[in-house]
Amino acid sequence: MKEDYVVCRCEEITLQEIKSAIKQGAITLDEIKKYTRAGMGLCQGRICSTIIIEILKEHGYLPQYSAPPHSRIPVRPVKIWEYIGEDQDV
Amino acid sequence: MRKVNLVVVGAGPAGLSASIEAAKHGVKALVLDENHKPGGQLFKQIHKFFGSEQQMAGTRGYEIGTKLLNLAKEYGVEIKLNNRVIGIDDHNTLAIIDNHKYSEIRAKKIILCCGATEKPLAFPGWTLPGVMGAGAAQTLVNIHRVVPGEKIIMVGSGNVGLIVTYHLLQAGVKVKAIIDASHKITGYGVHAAKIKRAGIPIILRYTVNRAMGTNQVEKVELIQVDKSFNKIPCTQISFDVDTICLAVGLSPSTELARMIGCKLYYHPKLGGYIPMVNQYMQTTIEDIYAAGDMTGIEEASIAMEEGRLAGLACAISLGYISDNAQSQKALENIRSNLSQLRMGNGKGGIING
Amino acid sequence: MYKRFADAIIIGGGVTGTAITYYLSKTGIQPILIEESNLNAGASGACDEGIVLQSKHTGIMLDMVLKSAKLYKTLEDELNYPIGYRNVGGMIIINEEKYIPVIETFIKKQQQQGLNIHMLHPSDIHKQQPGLSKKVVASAFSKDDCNVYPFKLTLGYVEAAKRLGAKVLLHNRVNNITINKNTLGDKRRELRITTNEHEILTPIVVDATGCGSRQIGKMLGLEIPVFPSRGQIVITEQIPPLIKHQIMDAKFIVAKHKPQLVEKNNALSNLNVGLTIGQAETGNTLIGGCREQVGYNTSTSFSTIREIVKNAADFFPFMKDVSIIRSFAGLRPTTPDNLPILSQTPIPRFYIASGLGGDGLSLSPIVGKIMADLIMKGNCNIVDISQLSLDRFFNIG
Ligand SMILES: Cc1cc2nc3c(=O)[nH]c(=O)nc-3n(C[C@H](O)[C@H](O)[C@H](O)COP(=O)(O)OP(=O)(O)OC[C@H]3O[C@@H](n4cnc5c(N)ncnc54)[C@H](O)[C@@H]3O)c2cc1C
Ligand SMILES: Cc1cc2nc3c(=O)[nH]c(=O)nc-3n(C[C@H](O)[C@H](O)[C@H](O)COP(=O)(O)OP(=O)(O)OC[C@H]3O[C@@H](n4cnc5c(N)ncnc54)[C@H](O)[C@@H]3O)c2cc1C
Repeated sequence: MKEDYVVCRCEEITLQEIKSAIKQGAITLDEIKKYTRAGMGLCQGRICSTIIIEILKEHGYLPQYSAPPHSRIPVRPVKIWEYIGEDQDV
Repeated sequence: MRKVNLVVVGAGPAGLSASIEAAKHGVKALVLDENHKPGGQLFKQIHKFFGSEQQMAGTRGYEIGTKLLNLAKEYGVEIKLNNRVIGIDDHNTLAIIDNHKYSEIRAKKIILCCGATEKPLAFPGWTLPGVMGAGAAQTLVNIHRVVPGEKIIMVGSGNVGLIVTYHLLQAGVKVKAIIDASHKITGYGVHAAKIKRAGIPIILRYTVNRAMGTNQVEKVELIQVDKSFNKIPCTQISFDVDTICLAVGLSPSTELARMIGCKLYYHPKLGGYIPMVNQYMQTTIEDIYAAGDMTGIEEASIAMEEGRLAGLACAISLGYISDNAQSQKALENIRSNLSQLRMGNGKGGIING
Repeated sequence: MYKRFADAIIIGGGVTGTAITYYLSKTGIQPILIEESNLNAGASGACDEGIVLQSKHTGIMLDMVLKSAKLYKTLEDELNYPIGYRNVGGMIIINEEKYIPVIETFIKKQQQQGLNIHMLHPSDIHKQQPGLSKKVVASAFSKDDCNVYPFKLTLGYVEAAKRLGAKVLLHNRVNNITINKNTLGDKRRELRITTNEHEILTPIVVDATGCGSRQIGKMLGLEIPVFPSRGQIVITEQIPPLIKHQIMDAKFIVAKHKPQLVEKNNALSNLNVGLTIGQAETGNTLIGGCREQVGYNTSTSFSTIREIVKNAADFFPFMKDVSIIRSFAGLRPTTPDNLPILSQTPIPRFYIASGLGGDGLSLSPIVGKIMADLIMKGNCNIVDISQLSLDRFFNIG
């Protein structure tokens, strides 16, 4: 049996899923994200990206040669009521 | 929309130093931090800091924090806490959740001092309760005064691993061992010596093979690695532990820098992707500066000097001090402090792990 | 530089290019798909999940989407790949009385053309979609609207096409297309494609590059009028299944079909913001949307995101307690008349499948099929594609 464990906790994406995405042609953090959903969750890849970088390195895809993923507002989760400026019991 | 000359994101040592330096020269600086207390990482540190006298070495982390805060007050820096910066756009507008309410502020200059987050290490079982970052363990003991577990193994022999181990020992926790995949201890000798005196083994060239347990960590299995960090079969050893602390490095928090389009590059020794900065700590975007852990994981004293450099550079470019030989000299002084600090620890200033 | 040959080349790894690659492979030839970055790098990686029938104008668009929806029903089995196809049904919700007659007329025509759609009885609206604000006074419902997960859809097509002998060249940007003069009398060498890594000779080239089409056209001296229209989307954390349908604010339809009715007096309408909302299988909700002419800029803007979020809270008050985790923007490849270009060109065996606007996902399989017919048979009797030809932009007057 191949060694397997969860890499992206937010989306529960496993090592084997990442590896098969690499086989299918995903070679950057952004591409892995699109192929597998790793990094699409609540923490937006803050945790798993270092692990995925290591996995990519093992396959010969060095982070030096690719850009880091895009970042978009909001960089932290925000409740909609906070966003629209409504009062709410905190 | 409120308009200000200078916004500093992050009230850690870098952000506070940047705002103080700018305020010294008359810039009204506004510091935003998402926490309810200022100080960033500093307030977790109850140990004496390393670094030079000038950067308050020999003072404990939280004392440095208090001093910086007092200075900030003295110079009239405005610090807004519970202010999450959730975005920055290309007009230098910051989108902020200010105590649960959305607001926007426009700044002429922005200094990003967002610090870093702990790196994880993945192995079978790493998602079991009982596996935690050393920083989280440190917050528990030093701030909340709770112990994270009874029998702990620390992964990583860098300064963070060594220091947090020491804090855990002081809190009465049994630390079974510190392990590191490297062939030598990566933190400073002084810290390692303390650990060794306390009788804690430091096991090198081992990594975690897996964590075992039904609902929570009960056992950790280690495995030996060769020079290229490949696992060597049949070398497993195991320990009964309920907590695995990971001190395997920090990763710079670059979300905001990436959002505005600052160019980043990958520097493994400095923690991963970091924004490119020039000799003024200015990023590839004119009005955006960056300092501290987010431009490379080093240490608090370096974060402070980098912050000062950025703060002074902003004061100059905002026209509060004229750009002449004298101000260039002042910048040069800070730069030479920085290179001294970086040489001083013989490692280019890098906390490995 | 590697030199090679191909039966056909498809440029663009979005839902359009991958579909064409698959349907062409099914005819027995072995095409090569070329993508400058990776699958879903363009609009297909920055869209909602809707296979939306009821937003389509009657005529060729509705005709195509009805046929597309039929293909979708069996696509997952056919591709033998989990593409996240779900028959969720869709609503067009109306919160302004004045939109009701517009939508009513709109759907009457659609019914005549065979779309399964009706106005809900006012007392049924909130049963159909609990949690909807009481401001919603009317709603259309079609049980035929579906969801599909674009990232898996493209992979599904590609994996199936590969099994049939197709090849995929990722991270290859087409830098030039030329007509090869030195064919040695061999039609199979007529067109030459140059990428950063390869030079390929082929008899057939299909442009499926969405917003890249103008650039591709220039390589061959053709004007292909496809322009970006930005849409922004907000993603929330995962929540229990509460948004049952693919939902669209009538304003979005009215703005598209009767823009004069939509007031332009507030920030909201100036941004062309109209609610679109759907909940993915994962539990995340995707909230949109807007149409903005801002060139090729794919960043999100604070004001639009805030309007989108406000709109969501307005229509779904319970959403106020939900967290937003991310936003993104995509560029709809749009033509001046809002119809796609599925067409031959003055250059023999150079085809265009582009300009799919806000409908590319919904139309993906039928576009694949139409293009396979057009290329292999020289004509297409699925729909009357003369209306979608490139000439239509140049034959006026
Ligand atoms: C266990 C441990 C021991 C250490 N020991 C030493 C030592 O002995 N000597 C030494 O010199 N250094 C030591 N360090 C390192 C030192 O703490 C860091 O180098 C220093 O704190 C970095 O400062 P900073 O200002 O860059 O970041 P931080 O201190 O991390 O501050 C960043 C601040 O920015 C805030 N922030 C980030 N993003 C946002 C946002 N979007 N909106 C609002 N606020 C935001 C964060 O919440 C945080 O408060 C140690 C670190 C650790 C973890
Ligand atoms: C916010 C938003 C929401 C949407 N929601 C929906 C919806 O719910 N339902 C629906 O049906 N549609 C929706 N759409 C529309 C849909 O996304 C598009 O119509 C569709 O994705 C277009 O697909 P495409 O394959 O034609 O183009 P794209 O997906 O843009 O693909 C073009 C590809 O070509 C590549 N390329 C470009 N130039 C070159 C070159 N020179 N060499 C090699 N490769 C090149 C690009 O990298 C890209 O991958 C939405 C769009 C947006 C923006």
